[in-house]
Amino acid sequence: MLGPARLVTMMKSKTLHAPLLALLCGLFPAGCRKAPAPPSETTPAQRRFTIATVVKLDGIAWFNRMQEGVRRFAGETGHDCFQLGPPRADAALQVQLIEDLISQGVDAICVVPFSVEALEPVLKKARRQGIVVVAHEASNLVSTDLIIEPFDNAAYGAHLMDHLARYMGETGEFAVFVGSLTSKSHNQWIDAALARQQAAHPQMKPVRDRIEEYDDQNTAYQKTLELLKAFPALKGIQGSASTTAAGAGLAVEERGLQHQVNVVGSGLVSQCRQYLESGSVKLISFWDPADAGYVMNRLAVRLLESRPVTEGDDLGVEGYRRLRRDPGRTNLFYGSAWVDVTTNNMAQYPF
Amino acid sequence: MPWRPSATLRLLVLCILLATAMTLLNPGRFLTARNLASMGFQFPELGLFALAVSLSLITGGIDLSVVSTANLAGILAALVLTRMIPDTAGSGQVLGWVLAAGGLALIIGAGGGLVNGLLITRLGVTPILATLGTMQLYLGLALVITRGPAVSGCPELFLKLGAGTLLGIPVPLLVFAIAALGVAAVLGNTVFGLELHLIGTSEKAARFAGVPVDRAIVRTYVLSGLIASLAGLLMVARTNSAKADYGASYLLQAVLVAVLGGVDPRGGSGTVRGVVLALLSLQFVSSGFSLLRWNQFTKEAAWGGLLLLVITAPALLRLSSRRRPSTDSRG
Amino acid sequence: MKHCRHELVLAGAWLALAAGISLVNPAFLSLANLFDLLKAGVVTGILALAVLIVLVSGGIDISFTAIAAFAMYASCRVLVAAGSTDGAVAGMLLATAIGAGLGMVNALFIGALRLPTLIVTLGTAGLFRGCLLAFVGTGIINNLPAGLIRLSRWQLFRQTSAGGETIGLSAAVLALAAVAVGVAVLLQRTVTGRSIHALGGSAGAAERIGIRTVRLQCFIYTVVGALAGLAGILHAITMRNANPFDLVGAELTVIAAVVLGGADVFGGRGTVTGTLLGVFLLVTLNNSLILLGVPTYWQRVWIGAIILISVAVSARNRRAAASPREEAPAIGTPSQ
Repeated sequence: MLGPARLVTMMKSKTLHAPLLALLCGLFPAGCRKAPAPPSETTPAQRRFTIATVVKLDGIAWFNRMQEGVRRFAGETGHDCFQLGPPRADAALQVQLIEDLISQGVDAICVVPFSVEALEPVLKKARRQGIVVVAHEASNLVSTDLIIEPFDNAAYGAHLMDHLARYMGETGEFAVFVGSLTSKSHNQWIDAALARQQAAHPQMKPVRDRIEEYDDQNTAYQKTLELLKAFPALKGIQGSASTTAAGAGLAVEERGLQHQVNVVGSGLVSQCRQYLESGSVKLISFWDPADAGYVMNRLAVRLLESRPVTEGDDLGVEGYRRLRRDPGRTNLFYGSAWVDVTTNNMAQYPF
Repeated sequence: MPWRPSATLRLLVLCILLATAMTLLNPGRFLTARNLASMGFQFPELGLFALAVSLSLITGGIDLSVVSTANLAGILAALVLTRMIPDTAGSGQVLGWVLAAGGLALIIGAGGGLVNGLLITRLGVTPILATLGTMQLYLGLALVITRGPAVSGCPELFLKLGAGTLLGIPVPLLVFAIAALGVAAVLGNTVFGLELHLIGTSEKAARFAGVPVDRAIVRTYVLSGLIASLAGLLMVARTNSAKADYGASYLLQAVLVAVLGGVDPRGGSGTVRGVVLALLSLQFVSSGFSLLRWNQFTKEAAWGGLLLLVITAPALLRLSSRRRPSTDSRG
Repeated sequence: MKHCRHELVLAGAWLALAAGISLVNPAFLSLANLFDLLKAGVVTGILALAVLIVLVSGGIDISFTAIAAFAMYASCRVLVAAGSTDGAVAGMLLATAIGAGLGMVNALFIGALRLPTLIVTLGTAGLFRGCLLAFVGTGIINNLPAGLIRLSRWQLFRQTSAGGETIGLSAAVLALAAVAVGVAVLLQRTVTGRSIHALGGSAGAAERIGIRTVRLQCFIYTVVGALAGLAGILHAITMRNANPFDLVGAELTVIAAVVLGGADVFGGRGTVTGTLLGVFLLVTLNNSLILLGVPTYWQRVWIGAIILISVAVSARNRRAAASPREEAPAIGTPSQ
């Protein structure tokens, strides 16, 4: 219990606050605003660079695979490359990580933004301090030296819709999922898919607006069960997050509807193998995160060594053998790195 | 009673120990002007949320809607800043719009808090349920307004709030310092502050003592919403964008900071200086671990471990002193 | 009795919700939908019953989802590493045991060191989740042992229509039913249960009448850990994989369901029936948005509004039922 006497002492000791906060402000000065990059006395070709790869979320299968690519690059070239990611899927934590990296003084940051807009200022700050920024899955990012996309987002979404139309026989009702309504790339894929459906597959009909599954397999499962009841004639589902195909596949398999309902979407083989085998998921599509990690680091070194990147460049990795430059932006490049997987070729992708 | 006057001292020691440890583990990298400045930009947002949550905890309640309130306020401010300002506006006009956007955000924050306060006092809903509901509601409204994507592209003048410095001190840190001093003054120097402690200690007793309990509780949640909207403005200014689900992980972190700082979740006690020291401790761990390139999940484990360590230390001391034969009749 | 009345209100609210949804979409009344709702409530239901025990004892636990995730993932890893071919019984026992072990950690801090429950479990929640992801692993385990997969396919009242569509009631509801009966017996019919109520009513009074509170709290938090572990492995069985990122984040919703069900956050009060009704009210609400045709952008607003309406109605009802002297505690809660 807190007696009134205690309250009085507490009120007296409030005088401590002012000095404490003054100390605070003294302790965290904005300090040297422009930290000069360490002078490079050696020739560029001999320098060992420190390159940080910052991903959306630490530890999930996708980015574990990306880390393999980063490590492969470090092993081949001898540069100091490492990967970090926030422990929870939240843009605020990614901003903090990059703040920490800037103060640590890395040479380059390769980043897969959780939210492109939220990272602009902190990446701008990084570039002001001479850090090279290379981004992935961020076609609208401004504060960056270079963006490497695995493919054109619109083409990717449209090609999944073409597959869905083929499995559905060009007719019938379908539903589309995004991981979250705030995810830019997922919404771009779905926008393009719906546009393609209207243009090229007019006999098909979306049953309602895009469904959100919070990047959670259980939610994707529950929402699919509900869809199957609400729309008994449903013939197709197109997913965006890597969780949708597995969650929707589970629901379709449990209902025994794999002959009626066709699920296509992004996904990794490890997550979807059992549903591809049972036929409840017809096709998954992905790009190899390891290659993306490798390529980002390679491009960062190129920029650090002041060697330009141009249309048609070969980065020595399948899917990035002939880079395509965006007609509207000189520093935005596309690979052609998507892979479609069905039961026929899933053995080739053991991750 | 686990929280004694020595709690501040204990936290201060912890804070210094952590800073020392991180400096030794990161020679030449942790204790640099650059890193300190970077930390000074990072923790004010979480700090404001921790202050907001502390207020409701002191009354024996909780405000789970702080992050949603911040995002909703931030989004509306960002909409004003990105859509309303004409391209031809002079700097004076821009300043006017920036002030208007800030004012709107604060009104939204206060309004969100008012709804919480009325749900709790008028309808008698327990705070955890009321604010869990409004957390969903405010997040939902933010989604309806934005349709998902971030609102971005604020004028440079506004961005200074997040990235600028004044006399060499990061502006966000100044904002936090002012808010912290304000809350400390409210808690320590006003009748309202006294009422909060009384309500948190025993609401029934406070009622019998003639404290206007309902009014004080409504004011608490309004203040909490106001501080949250300030955090929302900082988030927009720091990221030049507003999004419905930004900073969701701040919620439990804010509760952790408040509790680590000695705010009793059963109500009745808590100090701003404790919260500030707890905030610094967690920031040192966070930045230090990043510099060490340690797995990010070790941070969460370390934060949990720190909390347990801080509360266990006095309990262990009490146990060992109890074992000694003594004339102390406590317990 | 006031308790009865609150449960009647909840049951009425559920019926009103169900009637409203069926008017909009008759598919709500299909057997398939009722089976789906029951299955969707299993994991949340078991977690909620665990939280009920804690709330009745006057405490709060927010580490239970971290315990569930830890127990689920660690037990699946052990089974896979041991090359287990069946793993059905072993998996359930192992997860429950790991959960109980982690619960004992809570028990040590809360019971033996007499520390506040919210602070301890806030700390252990971070500790358990951090250790799980930093040291046990982060990759999703997709190759669960055959026994667990078999359990996930086990359905009661299974029927297949001419078109090949299969519906059935997941056998996992048996686990929920067993836990519900067990917790009800524990709380209502045993001396331990009476002691838990007494402890939640007033810790000081409980000690004075001779209840060994330290031992009792150790028992409570160990049982809660064990139930969380069981819920964890059931989640893995339902999803047919073990994802260490799952479950954590649901703690506030689960606590809300229990409080909605009539449990008092100050302790001493709460029933199994009320808790289950609270859980199914929220599950129904969450799993009918597509049937109702609520636009995706409005779903969060809708959920928030319905939660607020239902808690406000039940709060009013309880206020009306309570004597004026009991009105005061309506605001305070030691929970987070």
